[in-house]
Amino acid sequence: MSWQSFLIDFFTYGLLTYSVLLLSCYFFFATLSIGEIRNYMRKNSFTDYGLLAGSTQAPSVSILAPAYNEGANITENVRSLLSINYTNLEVIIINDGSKDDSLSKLIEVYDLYKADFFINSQIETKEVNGVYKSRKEVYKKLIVVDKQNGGKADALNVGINVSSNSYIVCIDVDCILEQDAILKLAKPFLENTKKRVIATGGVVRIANSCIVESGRLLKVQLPEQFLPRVQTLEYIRAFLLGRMAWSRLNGLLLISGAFGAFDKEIVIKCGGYNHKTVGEDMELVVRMRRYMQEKGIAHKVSFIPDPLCWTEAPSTFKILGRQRNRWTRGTIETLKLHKVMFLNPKYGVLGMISYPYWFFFEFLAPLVEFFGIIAFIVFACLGVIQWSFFFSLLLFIFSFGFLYSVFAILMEVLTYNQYKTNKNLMALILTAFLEPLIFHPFVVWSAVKGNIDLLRKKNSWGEMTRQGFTKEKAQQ
Amino acid sequence: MIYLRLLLLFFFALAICLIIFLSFYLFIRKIWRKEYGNWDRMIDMLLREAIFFHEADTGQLAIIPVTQRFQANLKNRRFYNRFVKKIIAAKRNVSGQYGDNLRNLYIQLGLDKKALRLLGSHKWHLKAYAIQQLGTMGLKEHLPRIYRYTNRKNALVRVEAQIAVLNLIGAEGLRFLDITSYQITDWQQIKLLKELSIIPQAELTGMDKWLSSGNSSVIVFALKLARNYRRYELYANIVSCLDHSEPNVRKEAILTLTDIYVENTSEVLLARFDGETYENQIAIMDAIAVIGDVQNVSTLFSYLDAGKAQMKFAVARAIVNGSANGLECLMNDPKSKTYPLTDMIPQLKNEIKW
Amino acid sequence: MRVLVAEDDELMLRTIEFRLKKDGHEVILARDGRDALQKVDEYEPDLIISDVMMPYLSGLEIVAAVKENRKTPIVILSGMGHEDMVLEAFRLGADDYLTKPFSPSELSVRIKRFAVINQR
Repeated sequence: MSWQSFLIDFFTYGLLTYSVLLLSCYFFFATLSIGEIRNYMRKNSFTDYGLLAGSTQAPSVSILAPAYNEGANITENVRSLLSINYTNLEVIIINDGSKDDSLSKLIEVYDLYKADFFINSQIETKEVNGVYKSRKEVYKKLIVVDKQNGGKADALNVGINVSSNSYIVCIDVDCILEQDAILKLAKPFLENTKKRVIATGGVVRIANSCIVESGRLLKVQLPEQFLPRVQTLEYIRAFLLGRMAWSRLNGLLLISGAFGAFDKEIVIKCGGYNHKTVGEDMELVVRMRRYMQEKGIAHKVSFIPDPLCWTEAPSTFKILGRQRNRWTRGTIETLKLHKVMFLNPKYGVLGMISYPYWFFFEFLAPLVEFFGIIAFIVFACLGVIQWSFFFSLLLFIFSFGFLYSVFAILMEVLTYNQYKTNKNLMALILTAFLEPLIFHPFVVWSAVKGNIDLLRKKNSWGEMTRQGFTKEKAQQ
Repeated sequence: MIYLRLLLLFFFALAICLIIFLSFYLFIRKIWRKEYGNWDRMIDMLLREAIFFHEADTGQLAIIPVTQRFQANLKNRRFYNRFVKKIIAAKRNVSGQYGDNLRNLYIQLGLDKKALRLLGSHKWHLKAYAIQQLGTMGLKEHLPRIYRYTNRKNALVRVEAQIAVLNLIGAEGLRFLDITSYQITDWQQIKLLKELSIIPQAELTGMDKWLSSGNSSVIVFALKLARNYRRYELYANIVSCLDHSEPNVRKEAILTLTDIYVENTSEVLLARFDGETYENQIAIMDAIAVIGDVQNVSTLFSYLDAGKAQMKFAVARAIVNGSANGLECLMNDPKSKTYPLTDMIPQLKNEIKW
Repeated sequence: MRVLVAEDDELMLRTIEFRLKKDGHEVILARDGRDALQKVDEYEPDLIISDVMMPYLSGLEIVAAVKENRKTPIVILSGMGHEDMVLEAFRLGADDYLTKPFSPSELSVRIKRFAVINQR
């Protein structure tokens, strides 16, 4: 057998095996996830969150929301946070050296004054200019911290230093939270006896084209533009068919950066957010888990399948590209920082299942796909393999992807059913059809670029220009 | 290759089937939504009639008029679930005769029998559902059966049974604390305390037994009860909890003492400071800040040398709030001119004003 | 008396409406905070009964908003265990409160007090 044909066989079968493994994993996680969601929904029907949120026994929570140049919507976003139904709550807005009028707007609208405040700097951060509180009784839960620009991780660390409560909820300031979000996030911390819950994540939904007024979500609508819509589908797949399964296996490595709750004590013991990486959200969770594992303390990272947080998704390719590029670099940086866990039995599920999965199927997947396709095209051009085989393979992957998306849509309809009309359904199906043709290649390319950029040591966040939520005035 | 083609055809076919099913399902849901609108109106009307149904005091069970259509609808599982959800919510919202009327309606419709059937189911969520119904509706005659579930392995069934028992016989139902072998999670404790708060004049007996239980979560719960219901006579028991082996029990005891204290409680807490975990040491200082009454503020000053800023702050707060001249003494001490106390004192000053 | 009732539980809303109508009051219904404030401006009720926990605007925000430029008496309804919110509501200017589970006849009696004050 010539080395050429050996190489080609190796390549082809290798790719095939990889694909089959990947698809089997997806299938496995999908089934596990569904079971968990069903369990959760059943248990959930027995809890009246509204009644319990007012209880003084509920755990104390601080919402940390870093803000950078969010002047356009900041007062409304803060109002939405302040209206959350929860007694033991602090809302801490960290102004990360905004160049616009974010701070002055807040001072004016909420009647803020600069307060004497001792900051217990348990985590090192950039300098804080001042801590502001409101003179009005009705806003007494609000604290605004003004600091020098240092990035999201640094701002969150300042928030941690300032907070006086036991649990922190880190969110993006323009996230809209559901009323019961805080209590639902806090519940896992109070429930486990054998394992200490160190972090909880919740589902993030896409708010583009939803009707929002004064920082409140009035009506859910499917995004009108293609890009946010395809991300909606993506999020549905990831959250409904993925996260819950990982939570069940106790192998969750990632809580959405837009929204997550943490046990403050453990966060501080681990040193807070790492400002040297662009994937600070994932990196923190991995580090916290590693810390607990190394100390031999039984722990868990939970996940709530209810939609709790609504956020704006990128609607242009440019911004989307930057976001995915950043996600890729963040993943790689995190994997590198904690490579000691790879297939290391000392780290249990984390080392033997979670980390390898992320390495092979999240990090390598775009690369495998990209180079695989190029290789196959080359082979086909050279006549080594038949074009029909190549296209059959592509169609095979496409058909599975489509089926998977349809299955995700089915699960969404059977569980939370946010998008109720047949028109929505058709739009989502069409989106699922077009995704592999338009969206997926772009995402893969962004991931590849992310790898390249990392190799070139690029290290910035890129600017996220805010469009502001689509403000459709509600029918009077 | 043929396998590839077969599989991909299979996937597409399956996807199309799912899409058809989805379409159909959404259509059905749309019909259901209209139905729910009608059903809700029907249910609300019946419930409202029931609530205000006043028969002459005959002592007999008054029959509330229910249409045939309604009875027929009840056989539909979705209608039944919807109705049960509403009648339970309503029962929680209205008291006295109004609530009793709802109970009578519940029994009149035979829903108690249905709940008992569900109770026998193997599925835990159906059992818990039945228990919740029987408890909220106040059907005392099923108490023995429900009581047996208060120590079941399944957590949901267990906690719903515990809550139901409280609903049925009030605080006396807490007897299950004597024998429960499972830990009561913080979440369950919150739910139980909430149920208790609805019961007027909860008579709690046997608390001293719970405060020395072998189950540490029972002790924690009892401490919370002692605090909520101001049981000053249990002071000695609470203080003895300060010597428990588990740190979270000790922490809860410290917290409880902020509400139930005597003259020398601050000293009692300080005496245990050195042997405690860091977290509990902070708790002790916070407690002293609340209780006040520190006889000799200068005893606290030695703790200001602590390494961590968080401890320094807690001690400073205890000094300032611990006695009337605390702030003055602190200002006179040379340490107050150094960082970090220079930053801490202005904030503490503001806190006293409140 | 013209009474505005703000409550998101439909059955409770109707129950209170029924009771008040029986007593001879004119009743305006609101199902959430925004709706309530709009109707306060539109109908200028003599009394407001509001649940303390509602979507879009909490009962507390309603109390604060109404008391800013009106003297309309406000009675709040709250679930047990919401002592914090009740105290808060009083601080903001609420006039009376009832906890759930409540008795509609007790509500009726309490409302009569305000009717008397209103007539003066």
